Amino acid sequence: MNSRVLRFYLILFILNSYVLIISNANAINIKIIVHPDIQDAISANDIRNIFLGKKTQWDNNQRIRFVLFTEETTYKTFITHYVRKTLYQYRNYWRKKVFTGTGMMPVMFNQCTQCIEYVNRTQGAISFVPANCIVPDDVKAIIPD
Amino acid sequence: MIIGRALRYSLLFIILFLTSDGNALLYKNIHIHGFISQGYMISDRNNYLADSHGGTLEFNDAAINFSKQFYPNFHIGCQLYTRDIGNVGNNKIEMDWAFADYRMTDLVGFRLGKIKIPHGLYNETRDIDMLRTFIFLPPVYYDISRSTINAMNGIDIYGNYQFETIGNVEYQILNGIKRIETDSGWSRYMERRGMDITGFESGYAGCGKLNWSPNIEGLRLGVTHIFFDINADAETNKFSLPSQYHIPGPDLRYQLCNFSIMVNYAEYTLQEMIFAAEYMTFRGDLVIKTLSSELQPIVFKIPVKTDAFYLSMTYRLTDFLEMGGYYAVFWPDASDKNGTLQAQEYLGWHKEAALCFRFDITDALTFKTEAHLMDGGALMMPQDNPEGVEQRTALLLLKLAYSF
Repeated sequence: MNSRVLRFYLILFILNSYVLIISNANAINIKIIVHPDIQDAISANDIRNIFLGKKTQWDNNQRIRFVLFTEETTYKTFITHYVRKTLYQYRNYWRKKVFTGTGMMPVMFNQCTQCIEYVNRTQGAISFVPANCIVPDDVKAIIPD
Repeated sequence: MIIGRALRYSLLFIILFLTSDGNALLYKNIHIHGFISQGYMISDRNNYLADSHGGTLEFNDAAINFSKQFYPNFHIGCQLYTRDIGNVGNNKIEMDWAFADYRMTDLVGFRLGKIKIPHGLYNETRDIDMLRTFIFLPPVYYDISRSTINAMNGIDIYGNYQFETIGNVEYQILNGIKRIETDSGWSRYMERRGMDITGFESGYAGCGKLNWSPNIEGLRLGVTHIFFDINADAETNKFSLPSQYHIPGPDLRYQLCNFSIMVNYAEYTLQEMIFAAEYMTFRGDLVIKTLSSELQPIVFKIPVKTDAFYLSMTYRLTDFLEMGGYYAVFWPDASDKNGTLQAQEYLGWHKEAALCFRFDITDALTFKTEAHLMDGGALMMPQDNPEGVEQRTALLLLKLAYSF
């Protein structure tokens, strides 16, 4: 009986690990891109706070301008992995700001070329694109600490 | 009322013809958002907030807001709001909020104007139906209290700091002046005790919020505190006190001194599930002075000690369907939780269980249905129930809302 229970938990553990590997793989399939002038070391907490509008300045006091790439799979994966909210919760978070006057809706693009172009020409900009999206050399792709 | 209707129809026009996909309007870099909702409520015994016993459509609201960003750290905006719920609102248009917001650094920002008051987790978004699961929030956000704790004119200092070890801490300190209208929900609340409010005096108000998101994913804890004094003139035949005592009319001046509302809250998000709990304490002294020309002025000081709490859970099952429930209790006099000093014991509490289903028909259009079982008469208005307040009430609510 006990061995059956153990086997059940072992299978559950393996399945769970598999799910984690899949979700990490999804996370790896995203590139975070920043304007070339940004020299800051960026942590996962920084990413979360930037996209929640809580961190608004880089270390050199430059204003942060984040942009959302709204292709559903990438958007969902990014928000779940880095911001740690569901897409529905994240949208509501910004709607709350809009309807209480405490914030404006973030800039959104539905093509990765638009995101790259915006980041390239806007000082302090940060965004994310799918890993298979070709990023020119003058835009910096980063891996959070 | 006509203007209120005009606003609603204008909104409807904008919605139907310009924003069929539920996105915001943009005009010369001014972002325009809004919502409109229509509800229906029906109850089996008491009338609750409106003439609900026979079923009523007198349950709607609408808003439109305009915001413009001048610099990445500076924007201004305002929101017009109208609602009708029973005898409150009557679709009069009000300036819900209007302020300028300057974010100097992450740690310090300033807002100046009419600003939403932080009170618990959801006061700032209490009117915005599509941002929550429930139609009626628990009695910590009792509808009648809206006029008192919705917004105030003043200056707001806010900010947040990310600590490596303990997580993120947000704060807000708002100081200014609170205005209350004589036809507000607060007047209705005092009316239930036999007072007809003839005038309010504005006074200093202050409030603060501390919100802590520790390094435990999905958890946030916090406290909000509001304090201000209210001065009001009222007419009454008699003001009833516990144990069959009463203060004679006809004219009274009352003062709610050291008025303080504190809410402690916890919210935990586990993927699609959100648990919330809040405990509210409302303290102060009700000072009543008789102004009758025939009698020497008499001053009465009555301590106010009101408590309320709730536990709630919501769960999003699919993109289309969300459900939630809560259990809430309200004691108008926390030192008499069994109502032994009341004319009927059940007037000493209000206990409520609610179950809600929310259907997201599109990103912009939601339909909700909600059932409430209520026990106790503490939040039932005698003026809505002239034949007497009964102990138990079942209430069914339906609401359709559109936002862009």
